[in-house]
Amino acid sequence: MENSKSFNAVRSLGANTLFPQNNIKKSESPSFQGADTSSFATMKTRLFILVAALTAGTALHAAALPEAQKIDSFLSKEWQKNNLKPNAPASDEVMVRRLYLDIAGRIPSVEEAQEFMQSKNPGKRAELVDKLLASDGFTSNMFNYWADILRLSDNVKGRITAEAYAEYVKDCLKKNKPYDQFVRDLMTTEGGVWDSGAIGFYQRDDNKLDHLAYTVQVFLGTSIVCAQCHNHPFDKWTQMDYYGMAAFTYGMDTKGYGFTVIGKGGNKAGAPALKGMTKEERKKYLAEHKEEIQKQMANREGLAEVRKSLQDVLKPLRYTNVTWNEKELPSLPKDYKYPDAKGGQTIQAKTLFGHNATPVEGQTRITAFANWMASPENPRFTTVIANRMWKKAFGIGLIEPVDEITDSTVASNTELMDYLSQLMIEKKYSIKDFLRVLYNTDGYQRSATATEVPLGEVYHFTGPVLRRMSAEQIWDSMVLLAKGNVDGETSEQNARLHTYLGDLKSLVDNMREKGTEGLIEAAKRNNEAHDEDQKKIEELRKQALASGDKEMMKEVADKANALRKKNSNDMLTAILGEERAEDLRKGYVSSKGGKGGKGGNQITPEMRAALAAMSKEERRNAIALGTTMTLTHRASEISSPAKPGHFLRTFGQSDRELISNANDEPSVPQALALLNGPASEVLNNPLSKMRLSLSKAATTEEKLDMLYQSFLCRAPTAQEKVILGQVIQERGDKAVNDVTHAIITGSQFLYIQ
Amino acid sequence: MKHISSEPTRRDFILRTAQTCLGVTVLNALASSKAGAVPFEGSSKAKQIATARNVIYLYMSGGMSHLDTFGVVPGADTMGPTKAIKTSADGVQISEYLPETAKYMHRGVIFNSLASTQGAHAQGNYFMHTSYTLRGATRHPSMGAWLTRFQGKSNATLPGSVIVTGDSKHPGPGFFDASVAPLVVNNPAAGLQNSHRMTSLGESDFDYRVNLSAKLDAGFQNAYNYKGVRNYADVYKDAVKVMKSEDLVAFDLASEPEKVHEAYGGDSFGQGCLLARRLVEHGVRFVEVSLGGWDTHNENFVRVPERCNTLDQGLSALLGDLDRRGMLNETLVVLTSEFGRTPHINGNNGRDHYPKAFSSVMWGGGVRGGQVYGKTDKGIEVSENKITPPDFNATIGYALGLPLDTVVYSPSKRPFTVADKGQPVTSIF
Repeated sequence: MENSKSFNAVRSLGANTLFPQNNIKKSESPSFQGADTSSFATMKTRLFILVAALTAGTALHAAALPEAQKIDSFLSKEWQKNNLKPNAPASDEVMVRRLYLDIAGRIPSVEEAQEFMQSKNPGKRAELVDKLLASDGFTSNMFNYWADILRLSDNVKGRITAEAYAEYVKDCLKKNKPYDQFVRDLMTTEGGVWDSGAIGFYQRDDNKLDHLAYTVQVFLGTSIVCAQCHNHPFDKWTQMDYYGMAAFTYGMDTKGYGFTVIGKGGNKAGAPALKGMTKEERKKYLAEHKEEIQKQMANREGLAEVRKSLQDVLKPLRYTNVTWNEKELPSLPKDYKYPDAKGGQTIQAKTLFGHNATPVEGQTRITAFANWMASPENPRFTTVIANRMWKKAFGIGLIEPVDEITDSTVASNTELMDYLSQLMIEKKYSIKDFLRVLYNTDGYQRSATATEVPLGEVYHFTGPVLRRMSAEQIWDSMVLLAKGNVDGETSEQNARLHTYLGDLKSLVDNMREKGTEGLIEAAKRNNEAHDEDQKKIEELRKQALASGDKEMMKEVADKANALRKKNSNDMLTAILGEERAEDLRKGYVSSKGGKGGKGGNQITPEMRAALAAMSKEERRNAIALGTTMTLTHRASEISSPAKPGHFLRTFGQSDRELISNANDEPSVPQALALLNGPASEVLNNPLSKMRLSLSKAATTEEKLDMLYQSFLCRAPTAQEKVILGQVIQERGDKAVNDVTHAIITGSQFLYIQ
Repeated sequence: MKHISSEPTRRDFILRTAQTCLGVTVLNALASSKAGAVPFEGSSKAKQIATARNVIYLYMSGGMSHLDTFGVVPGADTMGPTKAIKTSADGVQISEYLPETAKYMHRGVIFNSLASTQGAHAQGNYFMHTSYTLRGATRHPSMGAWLTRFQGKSNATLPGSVIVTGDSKHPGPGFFDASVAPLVVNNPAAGLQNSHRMTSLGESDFDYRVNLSAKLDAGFQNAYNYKGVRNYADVYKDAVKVMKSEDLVAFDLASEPEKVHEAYGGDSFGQGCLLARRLVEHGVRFVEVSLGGWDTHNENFVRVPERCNTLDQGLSALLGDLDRRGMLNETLVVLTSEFGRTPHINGNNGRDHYPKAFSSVMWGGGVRGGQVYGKTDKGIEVSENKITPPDFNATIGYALGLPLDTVVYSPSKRPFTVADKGQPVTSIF
C-alpha cells in the first residue's frame, strides 16, 4: 500500500512540467443567462410555505468559516454580474431537515429537531454540521452515495469479497480517509480479501479493459469507453490511448487464488506464474524447470485425483484474491485497424495526458499509475471530486455532467471551480473538511430555488435546488419513523464475515504449507478411504441404468452426491483441522440486515406499555405487523442493490450496473407502493416509533401537529390547520391514520427543501 | 466520422425518464420517437409483414442440456442414458423426458445449430437476451424493450412487456428509458405488486385519504415549479386509475378455474406460463418466463428429467391452451438458454457448460411447424446451418416485423440495432 511518502516523491519528481495547465480551458462561459425577474416574481407568490417558515425567525447566520466566506464572495459576484437576487435565507426548520438529510441521510427525529430549534447558540448550524459529519449517519449516507458511483453490488460472483469491500468503504468513510489516499489504496490493493476488503475494487469486474474505463470515468471524470473498440468518435482519445492506459492496470490478476496449488494445468491457480511471462521467458522457464515439470507429468494421475478432491475445497476461495504481475501487458485486438500498430501487438503503459507515470526504482507500474491518478497536479482528479461534492450539496454541479469532461469543458463559474479545487487540495482531500465548508456557506443556507433550472441552462447558485430524496434517504427516513435512530449499526463489524475470512485465510495458509506434494498425498489417502464406497455406488448405478428404474437412479445420484460431499469435507478436514473445517463448511450466509442477530424487533418498555393497553386481537395484529415490518435497518445495512420490485428499487435505487445509475423520477409503482404497500401500515402500527411518540400528545390536534413535526419538521401552516380541523371533525378517531397516510402519499415528504 | 444524434445525453435521459412503467403516460414517452433512425452497415435489411404479434419467451436459466432435451442425436454415445422419442412431427425426435411437449412439435421448429461465444452464465445469459456481449459501460435492451421501443403498446394501462423471474440481473430496458421497461413480476401468483387496497382500508376511506393528500400537498405543489413535483401529483392519479382498471384482472390468476391451474402446474414456472397467456390476451406483447436449475454439473441424468417434468407440464399446457384459443398463430413461443452442456459426461455424471453447440425452439407465430433447423455431429460440433444468438434474436425480430437495420443511439451516443448484426433465419416461416 502506498503512503504519502511515495506520493510526495512523485510530486517532486514531476517538477513544473507534470501537467500542462491547458487541459481544461479557462475561458468565459459563453452563455450567461439574463436575469429572469418575471419568474422571480411568480416564485415569490409560490413561497407561502416558506414565508410561513420565515416567520419562525431567521436571521441569516453569517458564515463562520473564512473559506465559506470566500465561496460566498464568488457567488455574490456571480449574482451581481447576472443581475440576480439570491434566494431568501432558509429557516431553521428547513435547515434542520435539510442538514440531517444531506449529511446523515435521513430526516431528524422530533427530539433531534427540537434540540436544534430550541438551542440559543448563534453558531448552532455550524455545530449541527459538525455533529452530523461526525455521526454514523454520515457514513451510511456517503456509503450509499459511493456505492452508486463505484457500483458496489452484493449481486456478484464473490459475495464475501463484495461484503468485505462494502465494509472497507464504510470504514474509510467513517475514518475520513483522505480521498486521494482512498483512491491510491483501492488502485494498489493486492492479496486476499482477508488482508483487505479493498480487493473488491478489482473483483468488481470480470473484464480488465472495462474496469479501466470505469476507473477513469469515476476518478478523472473522463469517458474513454468508446475507445476500447475504436477511436473515440466525439473526443480525442484513440484506441491506442485506451490500451496505453489499460496497460497500467492489466497486470492485476483477479482469477487466480494467489498461490500455486498444483502447478501447470491445475485449476487456474498455476497460471499466474507462467501468465506474466513473455513467450521467450516462458520457454526459458520451461527449459529451466524441466525436471520439475517431468515430475509433474509423472504425477499427472495424482494431479487428477487432487483436482477432483480439491474441486469443492477450493470453491470458497474463488474471487477472494488479486495478484499483481508486473510483466502482464495487454495486446491490441486482432482486428486493430489503425496504421500506428499491428493487431495483437503488446502495448506498453502510457498515460492519457500530462506526464507519463514512470515507476521509480523498485516501484510497480500500478503504484506509479495510482500516484499519477490521485495527484493534485492531475488537472482532472481534483476538479472531479470537488465538483462532485459541490453537486452533492447544491444539487447541480459547476460542471455537468460530472463525468464526461472533455478538453472543451468549461465550468459554469470557473473562478469558483478553481477555488474549490484549490480548497480540496488545502483540505488535503478530507471530504468532511471540504463539505463542512460548503454546508457553512451562506449560499447553501438559503431557500431552495423555487423554479426548476431548465436543462442545459447555466445556474448561478442563488441557493441549492430542490431535490427529491434518494431512494435510500426515503427508506432511511421511514426507518427512523418506524424504529427510531439505528445509525449506529453502520459502524458495527460483521462478526460472521470476519470469522469466515479467518477460515479462508487459514485454508490458504495450510495449503501453502502442505505444498503440492503434501496435497497430492492427502488427496490420495482421502480417495483411497472412499474407494470402496465409490465402487459400490458405481455398481448400483450400472444396475439402475440396466433396469431403467427412475427411483433407483435418483437414489444412486443422491448417494453419489453425498459421497462427493463427504470426500471434499474430509479433504477439508485434512487440510484445516476439524474445527475450522466445520466452520468453513457452514459456508458464509450473509447476515446483512441483522448483524450479530441484533436489530430486529426487540420489544422496548415503551412498546410493552403500548401492547398492554391493547385488546388481544389488536395485540396480535400489532406484533404480526411488527415482525413482518422490514423497516428495521438502514439501506446501507441491507443487501444492495435491493431486488427489483423492492421499495428501494421502486424509488430509483441504482442497480449498480452502471456508474451513478440511481434515479429520482416519479413513477406509478412508487405511488402504488405508498398507497397500498406496507409502509403506511407499518408507520401506523401502534408499536412504531412515530406512533409511540404521538401517544404522548393529549388531543388529536396535538397529535396531528406532532405528525407534521415527525415527517416535515414543521408545524402545519394556517391553511393546513383549517383542513386538519375539518378532518378531525369529519373523521374523529380515524383522523390520525388518515393524515399519516395522506402525508406519506404527498410529494412534500419526498423532497429536500 | 461524426454522428449527430438527436437522442438525449445520459443525464438528459434520466431527467426525461418517463413517469410510468404501467403505461399511464405523463410525459411523451420516447417510445414512438424515430430519432436516429438510419440504416446500419452489417445489420440485416430483411423485412416482412410481421407473422407474430406476441412473444412468450421461455428462458431456461443455467444452461439447458441440448442432448437431453431438444438436441437429441439418437444412438450417439454422447447421449448417455437419455433416449429419443417420436413426436407429432414426422421425423422429428426429442427427449423422452418431454412426452407432452412432443405432441406439439408439428407446430414448432427446433434450432439445433446455435453456437455462442460466451461460456459463463452471466455473460451467456446477457448475450442471449441482448445480442451483445456484456462489456463496457453500456447496458443493452432486451427484446421486449426493443419491441415496445419500436411498436409501442397495444394496451395503454398495461406494460409493454413483462418478465416473470427471480433473476435480478435481467438487462430489462437496457439504455432505453423507463417507459419501455419491462415490468418485473417476482411471484406470478401474487399479481401486480401493491395494486390492491390494504385489506384494513375501505374504499371510501381510501378515497378520503387520496383527496386529503392532494389537498394537504397543494401548498408544496404551488411553491415549487418543478416537473418532478408536478409529476408526483399526476402519478397518484394514474395509480388510482390503474387500481380501478379492468385490465388489472390480467394479473389475477385466481380467476382461472382450478383445472387450468392443474394443467399448468402449481410451480412458479407453470403459474408464470399461465400468467403469460393472460397477459398476452390482454395486450401485453412480450412476456418472459424463466425456469432455473439447468446447471447440471452433477448427476445430469437425474436433474434434467426433474427439470423436464416441470418444463413439460407448463409448456405443453401453454401450447395447448394457446392453440385452443386460436392464439398460437399470432403468438411466437420461444424456448432458449444461455448455452448447452458438454457432450462429454464428467466424473460426477454431470455435463459442464458448452456454448459451442446448443438448441432452442420456436412454436407458432407464423413458423412452419415440424422442422428441425441445423444439425450437430453428436451434439459436439455444428455441422450444418450454424447460427448465433444475434441470428436467433434477429429471427424473433423478423417474426415481429421489427426493423433490424434501424440504428438507435444509446445515451453514450453509440449506435445499436435490435439484434446487432444478426441475420434472421427466414426459411422457417
